Amino acid sequence: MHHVTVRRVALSLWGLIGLAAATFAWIAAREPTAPATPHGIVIDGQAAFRAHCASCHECAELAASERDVARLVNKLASHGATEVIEDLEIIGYLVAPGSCNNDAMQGTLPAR
Amino acid sequence: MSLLFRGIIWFGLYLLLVLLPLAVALVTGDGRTGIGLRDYAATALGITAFAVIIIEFGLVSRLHAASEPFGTDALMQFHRLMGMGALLMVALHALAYSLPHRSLQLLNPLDVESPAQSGAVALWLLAALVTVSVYRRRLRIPYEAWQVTHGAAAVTIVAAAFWHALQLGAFSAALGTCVLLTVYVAALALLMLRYRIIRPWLLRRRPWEVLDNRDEGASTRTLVLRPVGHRGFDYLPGQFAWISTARSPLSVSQHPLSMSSSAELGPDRSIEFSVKALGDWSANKVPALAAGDRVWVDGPYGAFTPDREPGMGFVMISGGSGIAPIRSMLLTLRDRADPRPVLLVHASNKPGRMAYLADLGRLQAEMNLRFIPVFESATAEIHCEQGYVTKELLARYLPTRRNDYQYFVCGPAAMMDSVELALTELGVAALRIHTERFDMV
Ligand SMILES: Cc1cc2nc3c(=O)[nH]c(=O)nc-3n(C[C@H](O)[C@H](O)[C@H](O)COP(=O)(O)OP(=O)(O)OC[C@H]3O[C@@H](n4cnc5c(N)ncnc54)[C@H](O)[C@@H]3O)c2cc1C
Repeated sequence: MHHVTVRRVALSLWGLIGLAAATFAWIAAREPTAPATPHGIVIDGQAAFRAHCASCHECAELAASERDVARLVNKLASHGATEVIEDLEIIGYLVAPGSCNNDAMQGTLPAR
Repeated sequence: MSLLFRGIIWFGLYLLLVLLPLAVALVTGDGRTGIGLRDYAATALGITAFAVIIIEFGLVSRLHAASEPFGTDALMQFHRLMGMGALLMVALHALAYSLPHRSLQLLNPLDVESPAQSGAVALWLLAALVTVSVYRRRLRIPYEAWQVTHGAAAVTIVAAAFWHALQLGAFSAALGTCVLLTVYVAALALLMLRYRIIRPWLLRRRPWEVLDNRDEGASTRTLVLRPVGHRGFDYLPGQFAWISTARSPLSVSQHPLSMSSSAELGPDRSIEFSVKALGDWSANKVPALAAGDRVWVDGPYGAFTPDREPGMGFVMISGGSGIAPIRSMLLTLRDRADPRPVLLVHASNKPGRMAYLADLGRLQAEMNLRFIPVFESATAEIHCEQGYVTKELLARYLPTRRNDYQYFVCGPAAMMDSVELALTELGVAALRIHTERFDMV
């Protein structure tokens, strides 16, 4: 078959896959699990933790090794892309007793 | 079934297999963690790239169902383009997760602490695999070394990506998606088993022997093979088979060669192949084959054949060893006493470098064939065209009702590119142009 035809077919498949990914994101994001501000800031500690931290850190790992709130504050301020209000929510969530058990039950990691 | 209709069905099926995991993830996934549009899109790209990579195996594992509708040539090109697409998707997936955290740590495949280590391994291996495949010739990597490492790297990528999806994916680790992805991986394992073990194993009971090994000049040999203790196979003119001259058919060293004899087989059901000396195997191993030597033949494959393309006549354009499948088409049309007109434009650098030159000239008396030899440089004794196969040259010889004919093009890559372009510029419909490229990578 003509190689230009094959290229066109492949390129249109790339386009359709991109479109499908965007549609998936739009549908998935339509049902937020956490209350969000008009600016998209997640103001629920557990949801903010899942959104910003859980892809690299286990809840228990942060909660156990960094109970020291000052260190947590510094870490969140210097690391990641959270707003201050989200940092506070995350810290509040991490220092709450049993938070990680709760998180483990619901699944800590975000979608891949 | 017309090529267009076949195309639509396969396009739909491919899209379904690629997007099914995404649909299942959406329905069954519990990954709605409020992570935002960008991360959801990244998730979708990751899941889809995984499906694309798995299907890549199906495209190159000698499945007749996959190669028959469009031919091996188109399938290989599609495989290459979708492989590049998968790399783009995986890279976007990884960057979408890394950049917002202003940390490239997630991309480090050596970081054992990173929860995304297996994903990073898959990403970098895929990048290396695509780069090496695109630049194999420039990097001077021998085909066989490339073939073995390509396969091993591809399997490692699937394993790493599968582990990454199960380990980190709230969507992909959800039961429904997880089961579906496992089915995809299991299908791939079965495919590999069939391709690498079962099929070669079955070939052990179907040996072939060398009947003759003729030097045709122009660095070309005609290898005549006969099935031993079985009936061989029927094929369509223009198709090819995988030949192994190793001791066992389980060897990875297998070379694709077009059948160059008539598809109307004789009583001993022997088949001819025309082999041009290029590298170690074709220049050293093939000439050393003697009558009675054992070889293994796995075929037939491919869709480069006039038998599937209805037309008032045929235009065949070839260069160098590209004459092999064309010779099979011509001899078959002659043996069937097919009255349809055939125009053959065959190119080489000079007369002494054109295999079967005299035979092709003689064939004109035996069938409705017009043969135009084209040489870069030629002496005055031979009636021929001089130079390259250009648009102007083709315009002089093509039939007036161009789209009543089917066009078959086989030769060096550069010649094929320019001929395909010239034919379309001369008004030939793309669907009437059929090609076979000998350099898969
Ligand atoms: C569908 C198809 C049909 C072919 N028909 C013919 C034919 O009728 N006559 C002919 O002379 N040649 C044909 N070839 C090309 C032939 O397969 C190679 O020339 C041969 O394998 C060269 O091997 P080598 O080790 O001698 O040379 P190398 O120098 O190792 O290879 C030269 C080139 O051949 C290709 N090649 C080598 N080994 C393989 C392999 N195992 N699988 C796929 N490609 C490989 C690679 O693109 C490589 O760059 C065909 C190729 C394809 C894909």
